[in-house]
Formats: sequence, C-alpha cells, structure tokens
Amino acid sequence: MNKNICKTVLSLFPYYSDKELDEPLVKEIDEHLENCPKCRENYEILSELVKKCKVDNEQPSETMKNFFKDNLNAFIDNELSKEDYEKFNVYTVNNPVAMMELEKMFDLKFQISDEVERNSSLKPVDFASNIIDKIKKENGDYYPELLANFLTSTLIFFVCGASFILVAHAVNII
Amino acid sequence: MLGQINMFNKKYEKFEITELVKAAGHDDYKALKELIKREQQKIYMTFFYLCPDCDDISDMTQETLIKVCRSIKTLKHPEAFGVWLNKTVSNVFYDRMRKRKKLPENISIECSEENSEVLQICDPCKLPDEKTVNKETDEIIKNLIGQLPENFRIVTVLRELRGLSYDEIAKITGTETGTVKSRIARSRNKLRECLQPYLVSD
Repeated sequence: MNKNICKTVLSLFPYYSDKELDEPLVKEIDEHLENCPKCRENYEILSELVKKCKVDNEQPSETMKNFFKDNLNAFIDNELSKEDYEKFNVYTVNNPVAMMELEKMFDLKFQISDEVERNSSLKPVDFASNIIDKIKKENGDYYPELLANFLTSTLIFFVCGASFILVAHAVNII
Repeated sequence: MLGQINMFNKKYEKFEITELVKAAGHDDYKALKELIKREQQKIYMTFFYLCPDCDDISDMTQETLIKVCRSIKTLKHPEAFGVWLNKTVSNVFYDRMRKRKKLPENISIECSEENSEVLQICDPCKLPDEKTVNKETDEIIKNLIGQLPENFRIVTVLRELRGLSYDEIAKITGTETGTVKSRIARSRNKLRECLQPYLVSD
C-alpha cells in the first residue's frame, strides 16, 4: 500500500468519521479502507474509541485543550505516536472547535504547497548541461568525449555518404 | 546530438533514484544528468524560500549540485542519497548565513528569539498592502517565511518543501525532535495569524 495515501487517510479520519467530506473523497477513502487492512484496522479501533468517548464525554479539560494545541501540527505531519494519535482523534471528533482549528491548519498547509508549486512553475531552472560539462572537465573526461563524438560523427557522415554513392551507382543514377 | 541518435540509450527517465545514484557513482554521466534534472527545481525552490534576501540562489543551487556530483562516488549507501542531499542543502545554507554575518565556522546560528513569547514577524512595512495583494499573492508566504528567524525558517522549509520528518530535521539541524516540533508549530501558528487578512473567504 502506498504509505502516503495511508498517511493522508489517517489525517482525514476526524472529518471522515464525522461525515464532513465531499462525496468523491468519501468514496476514495471507502475504497482505500476496503483494500488496506492496516488502515481498516486503525479505523475500526478509532471508531470504537470515539463511540466510547461520546458516552463518557463532558467539557474538555484544560489538559486536553493544551494537548490538542501542542499536538495539532504534529498530527497533520503524521508525527504522533500511535497512542497520541488515537487520543488526538478521539478528542477532535467530539469537539467542533477543535475540528475547525484542524481544518484551518490544513488550509494553511495547502496554501503553502499551492504557492510553492506556482512559484516553481514560474521560475523553472535547468543547470544540468552546464554542471555535467563542468564535472566532465574536472574529471578530464570532457575533451576526450568531445573528440570521440566528433570522430563518430565524421565516421557516420562518411559511411552515409559512401552508402549513398553505392546505392546511387547501383540504380544507375551515377 | 549524438546522445539522441544513440540507439543503445538507456531510459534514464524510468530509473529509480537509487539506480541513478548507483550508476552515477560509476561514472555514468547520463545517469548523473538525469539525477540533476530531477532534483534541481526542488533545490532551487528550497533556497528561494530559505534565503529571501539572497540574489545568488542560482549559484547556491549549482554549488549544491556540483558538491553532490563531486561526492557521489563516496556515498556508500545509495538509499541514503535523499538524506545526504538534504544535509548538503542545509550546509550550503548555513555557510551562506555565516558568511553574511561574518561569523567564524564553528559558531552556530543561534536564534535570540528562541525563548521569547512571541515570534516577531509580520512587520507591516514588509508586507504588501491589500491593494496589491493580487499581484503579490504568489510571494506572500515566501515573504512571511522569509521573516521568520533562521532556526524557525529552516525547520519550516525543510518540512514544507522537502517533506522531511521531525527526526530527520532534528539530525540535520543538530537539535532535538521536540525542538523541531515546537518550532514548526510556532511558525505555522504565526503564519496563520499573519495570513488572516489575505485568506480568500469560501
């Protein structure tokens, strides 16, 4: 399974579980869960935890609020331990304010990557040929290769020329 | 020209990075060229975001690529190419910063604002005003990231542009994973705060 898809599905879990995603995305996640036993297992564990938490839940404590704040970015970056990941999910799914905070942070991430991509296409670079030539010169391979290429071109030119003359002679043009 | 009519041309475009690195380590210049082509744009963009005031980003990119080419034979494990490349990028960045500040080689760039309560960015004089926001939108985030203190900027750029894990960033920057986690969180919170007036409402 593609690790990146699994990571994305994991971080979208709060929205998926709360039915806040668009239809096409839900379908994609449904399909992935059908085909990926690991993600399916994670989803089942988390769903159970969330259900359990909904029954027990009261007002979120200061500790939990701070836990959410401290781990929000690590969650989006898939850097949390399994335990913290579950704790974070359970808290977020049950907390609309937390969901909104999470969404805003996702928006920022997308904004950053969109801008980087736009700038990348506005400023294309190509140093490859220059650098290879420089390295070849440093290694003493540049001029020998240039000479070899020249000799090969010359040889091919003569071979083509000779072939043309032979063919032309054969068909009585010359 | 001859490369194009070479009937025995291997399809380097289809090679995995590890294969390219191995081939390049054995003096295969075509593999090395393909490797450069794959990495150059991302390296350029990394410096573009890391060094907002530099006018020699092309030079820094080429310097990094040349270092990679020169040392590629010494890489014992081709699988470690990515990590090694990121380390080279960071070193080129740190060297440039040291030169600009005229610091001796062994002094690290410590951020004086590390422990302060508030990250001081979003100087209104440095941000485009709202009237020019459309023209400037392409570089708003670049400007904001550029105003972050270096230690915050490098973790943000390594995460957002090079997709490194917190552990990898910690190794490269010589810090702890917890520090990286905190710096990324503080940077992003600050960026979000500053971008508020520029967010497109849905």
